[in-house]
Amino acid sequence: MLQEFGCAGDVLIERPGSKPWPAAPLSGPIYVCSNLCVATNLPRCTQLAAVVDATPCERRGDLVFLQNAMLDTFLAQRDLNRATQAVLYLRANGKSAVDIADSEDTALPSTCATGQWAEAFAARLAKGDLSCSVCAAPEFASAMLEKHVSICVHNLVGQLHGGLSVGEVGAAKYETERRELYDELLTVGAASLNVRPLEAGSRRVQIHIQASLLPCVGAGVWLMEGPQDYN
Amino acid sequence: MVDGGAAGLQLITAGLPGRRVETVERLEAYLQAIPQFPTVMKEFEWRNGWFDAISRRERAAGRPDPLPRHSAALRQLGL
Repeated sequence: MLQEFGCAGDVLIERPGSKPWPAAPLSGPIYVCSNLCVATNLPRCTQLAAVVDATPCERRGDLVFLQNAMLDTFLAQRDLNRATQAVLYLRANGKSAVDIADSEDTALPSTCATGQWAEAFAARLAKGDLSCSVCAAPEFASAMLEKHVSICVHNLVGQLHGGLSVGEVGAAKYETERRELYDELLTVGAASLNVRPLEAGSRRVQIHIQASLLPCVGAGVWLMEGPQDYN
Repeated sequence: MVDGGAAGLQLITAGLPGRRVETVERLEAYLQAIPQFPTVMKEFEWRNGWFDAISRRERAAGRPDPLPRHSAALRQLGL
């Protein structure tokens, strides 16, 4: 999907490390993603080390991580603390994707990114009419923590009760259990990251600015792992 | 990432109840937006393992587990 929103000069690498690194482009973002819809197919985190290793040292700072996971320790261990990252709130729509939140709904979370290639990523998404705000590292950490907590709590509650769907986890009878875990994980996670939870609607304001002001998208190299599922 | 000692946790999270409520409401809204997604425990190191590492670190330092509910749930699942 991201490839569809790209531009001339984009290079697709389906299996990092299996072929020599392409001669061009010499700069620009390197998206770590899969070859299907990013909403439902992200590379497994266990593959990330191999992806980084397959990237030339001088280009590793250009990597753009799109994973649903706390990568702080992984990135710090590789001196990639300032790497571009994004938190995606998309859902599948056939072979494409749409925003989880519509433009009028500020209650729902929305996609955001941080780092040197965050604007390029936002511009690419904007070509597909997808929202993405660019934020500073602390605000991004809050957003990543928020999504991380949602994944951890929903999966945990779902599995504790025999393998529920996310929608079933949302039943009223699990509300107390959900909220107790939200509170516990948000409290400790925010303290560990030294961040504050995001304020409601704070990212939506930036999104509308992005859509109209972003420049054209530069060429990127694509690191494509095989099809993966969301969870 | 800062060292999450017990004293540090209390200091940093003080005074955030208002923002916490907004975040929780957004989490609840997100839950309803993707009802068809399955739940599954995988990539533990990268997901719940991130929190479990905090619990283990605190216990190893002789301090109370700051995530007792989370840890109990993991034990219930044999993780």
